[in-house]
Amino acid sequence: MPLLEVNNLGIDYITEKGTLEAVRDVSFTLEKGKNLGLVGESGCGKTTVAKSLMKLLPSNGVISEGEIIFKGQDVVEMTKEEVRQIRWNDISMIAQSAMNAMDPVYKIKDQIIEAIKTHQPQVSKTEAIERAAKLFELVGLERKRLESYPHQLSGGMKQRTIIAMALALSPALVIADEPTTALDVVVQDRILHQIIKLQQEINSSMVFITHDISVVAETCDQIIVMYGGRIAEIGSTRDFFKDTHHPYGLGLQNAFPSIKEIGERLISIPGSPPNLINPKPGCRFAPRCPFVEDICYAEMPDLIEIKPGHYSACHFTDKIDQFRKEAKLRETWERVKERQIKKQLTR
Amino acid sequence: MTEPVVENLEEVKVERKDVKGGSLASTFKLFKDVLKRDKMAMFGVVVLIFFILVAAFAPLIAPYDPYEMNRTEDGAIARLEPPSAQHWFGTTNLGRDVFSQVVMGSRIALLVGFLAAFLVTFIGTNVGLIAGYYGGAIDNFLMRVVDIMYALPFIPFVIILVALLDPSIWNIILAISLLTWRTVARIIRSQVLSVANRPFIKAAKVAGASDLRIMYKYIAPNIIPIALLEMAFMVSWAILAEASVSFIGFGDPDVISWGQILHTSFLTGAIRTAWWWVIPPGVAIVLVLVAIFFTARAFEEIVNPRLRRR
Amino acid sequence: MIKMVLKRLGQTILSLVVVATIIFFMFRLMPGDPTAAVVDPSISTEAREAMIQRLGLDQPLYQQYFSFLSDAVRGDLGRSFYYRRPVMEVIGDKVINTLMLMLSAMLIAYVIGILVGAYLAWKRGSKKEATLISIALTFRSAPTFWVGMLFIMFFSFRLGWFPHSGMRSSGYEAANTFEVFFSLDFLRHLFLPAVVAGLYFLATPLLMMRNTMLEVLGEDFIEMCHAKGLKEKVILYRHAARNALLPVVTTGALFLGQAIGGQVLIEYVFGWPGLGTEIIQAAQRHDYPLAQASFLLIALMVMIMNFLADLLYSYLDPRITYK
Repeated sequence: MPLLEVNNLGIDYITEKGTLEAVRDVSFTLEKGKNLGLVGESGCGKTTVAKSLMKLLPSNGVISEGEIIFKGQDVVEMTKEEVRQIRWNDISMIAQSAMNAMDPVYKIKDQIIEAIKTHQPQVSKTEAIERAAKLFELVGLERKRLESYPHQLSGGMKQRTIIAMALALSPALVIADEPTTALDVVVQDRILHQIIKLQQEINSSMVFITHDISVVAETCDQIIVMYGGRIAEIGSTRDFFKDTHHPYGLGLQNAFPSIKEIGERLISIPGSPPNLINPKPGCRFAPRCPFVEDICYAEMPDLIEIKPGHYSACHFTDKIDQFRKEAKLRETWERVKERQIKKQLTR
Repeated sequence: MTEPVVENLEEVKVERKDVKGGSLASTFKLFKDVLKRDKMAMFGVVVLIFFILVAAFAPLIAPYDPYEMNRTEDGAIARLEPPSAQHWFGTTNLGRDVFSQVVMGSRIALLVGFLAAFLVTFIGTNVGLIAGYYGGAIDNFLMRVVDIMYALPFIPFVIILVALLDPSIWNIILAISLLTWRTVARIIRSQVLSVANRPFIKAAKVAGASDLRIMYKYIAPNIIPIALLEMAFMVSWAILAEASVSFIGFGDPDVISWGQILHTSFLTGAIRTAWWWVIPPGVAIVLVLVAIFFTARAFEEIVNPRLRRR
Repeated sequence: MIKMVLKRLGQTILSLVVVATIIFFMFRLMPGDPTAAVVDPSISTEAREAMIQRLGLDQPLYQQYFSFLSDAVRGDLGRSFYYRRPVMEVIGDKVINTLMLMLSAMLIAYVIGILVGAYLAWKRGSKKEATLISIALTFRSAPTFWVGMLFIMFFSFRLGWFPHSGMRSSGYEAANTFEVFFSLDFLRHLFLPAVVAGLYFLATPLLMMRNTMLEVLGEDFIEMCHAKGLKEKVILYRHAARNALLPVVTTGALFLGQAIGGQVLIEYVFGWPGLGTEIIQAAQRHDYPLAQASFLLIALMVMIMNFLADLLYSYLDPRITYK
């Protein structure tokens, strides 16, 4: 039995302007000890998917369809109290902005102890402190830092603290939401490796959310590219990087250079993710896709199996070789920009 | 690493539409929209207009001379009569008609309220404008003065000042104005600081416009909405202060005000029996103040978009 | 920490001196006979002149000013015309009465305001929220003296539950100092004015608490608390409310200045023997030395409260002391 199985997940945000279809038809499985990368630009629904795993959606967010089977139980059906008990104990989170993720008025120590004692009340205070100290050692922080207040730590130290806190109860699943975005590049890499090492040590699975696909390449077994609240492409990391099948995935790879291409100007994808209140029919990526045809505006493509475990939601998976060649060229994407400007003018 | 570079055509377009015009006309149009939506604000505006009309036509509305000693049919003075068809709010211990007194009292409340508020806003806005625009030593000095003003408790200060001067509405207005400009000055100053950094002000400076011209021609129009908002709050402060001063007996002896009505009823011990002499003037004060508050709050929503209800 | 305390203390003393200066010149530079502010105008001409000489009122203004300051430092603020005693003797024990009333009222306002305010943030957008806020705002807008009159009318005269005036019943003798303030008789007298003042103060802590709570509840660390699986009550009170308290306390302190202004009239209406009643009666009797001294003491109290609140704030927020 997989640790986590998500089927046909759909999530809505109720806003004043109407219902926002934040996530649609998302399905995947995650085995114990494996890592999954969720990538896409901001506003593509990756954080929403991740937060729904522990039912941490904002008050106007609702899971409208699908199921989230964690350890054989459907999280969607759980009561508030049941969810509260699996939070942190079974699923923890390394927050996006470690800067503000800790209560400013309590010592670090007290915040870690609080997490431990909430779920394991039988643990004594001294034991909890010992455990916190051990975790600090693992993430490379001095023990005396336990006595600090959050504002006394640097960004990197805060991030390590959050990591230590997330692992305090050895959860089966850790959600890491852009865990290194706020840090400078040098620290980023070190912390990334630390997370992976620790996670392997306690043998937990991880869902890694990032807009930076190079991070995924290093850390994840499996990757989901999301666009406009839907899965654009899903497959093993190896397959994805070797054999990308969705134009959006090709575009994302352009935006992040590999080392040898450094120095070249990056090619970005013109335009921005779609508005998901009353979305237009057809492929969500169509307005920004350089290879768009009439059918793309009319029909939503299904996920097409390319090979076992590797799917892409594009009408033209058969033309991928030609796409791949053209996607490397700047002119291809410039064309999209011209198209968009023309549309703006005629509107 | 940053997010992938996204050239966002749509957003740029929306932003341009959102640029705040800040002009008075558009502010009042927005105000009308809020009124349609916000029932409390509507209530406030209606009550306020009602009281302004009452004050304007007070002598026509008041059925009796407020000082007249009314008599009953058998010729005795109608002392402490409860409300009746002749005297809607009853009579005082000297047989005076409470309703007429309350109607006449609306004049002083609104006069003092608006005059003092105007004065306070005028002083405060100019001080804030000067402090915020020139900055440096001038700003420092003016803000220290404001700090010290804040150390003076308001009502005791007004009481003492009015006691030292002769009781008259002009002295009451003066006493109120002397202290309360501190609030306006502080708020306007911070607003000026943010406006002064906008590109068009810098452009005006480069173009060689004089300080006065920049301050009053370019900056001032941008802070008028905030100044008006503060003025609304100051109106209620002033009305309350006037009522308080009159209540303890330092009101202008030549005019009737709501505070003064309460002063007489309190001194004569009317609260033991004559509720009709106590409740109407107080209700009038509360209604006006609440009306101003709701109107100002609706106005605040426009001036400060952060407060707009989502 | 000590440096900050000393700095704030210095500022407080400085503003006290400035306020004293303003008051001095306000009383001396009034139109009419300037000596009327210090020498009782009702006494005979000879006695008057002797008094003027004794008090140094024939000296230049700046000399008078410095002797006023040095006298004030020694606690000598002149003689009351009305009581014919040194001013400090008259109002010395009034300070404690005023404080008693103010602290009881603040206690009522802050306990209710903070608890209800936190609750309102949780129940945002409900009918209950709108009603409770409107009630609090009405009590803030209403003139305190009028609300006091209504309460007296209803609770004292109509129902007879509470005395309408004073601090203790006539003929009542306290057995000891403790009983002066903690007897049933005192509490019965305290109840109405404290409730009226408390209702007047209520809107400030209530709205502040609600607004800061709403802000705090939107912060990242609150989401983190949810992720940690903490119970809602724990999140609401141990984390959100604890953080929201900081600004509520500081604005509360600044608000004391206005609060005392409101309380002056409440004291007067309830005949509460405090500084407020004293300053009003002194003003009515043209007892200038007493009015002047009462005003200075009220200002002093405001400043001390602000100073204490500052200290409390730096104690509550660990970030302040390290800056």
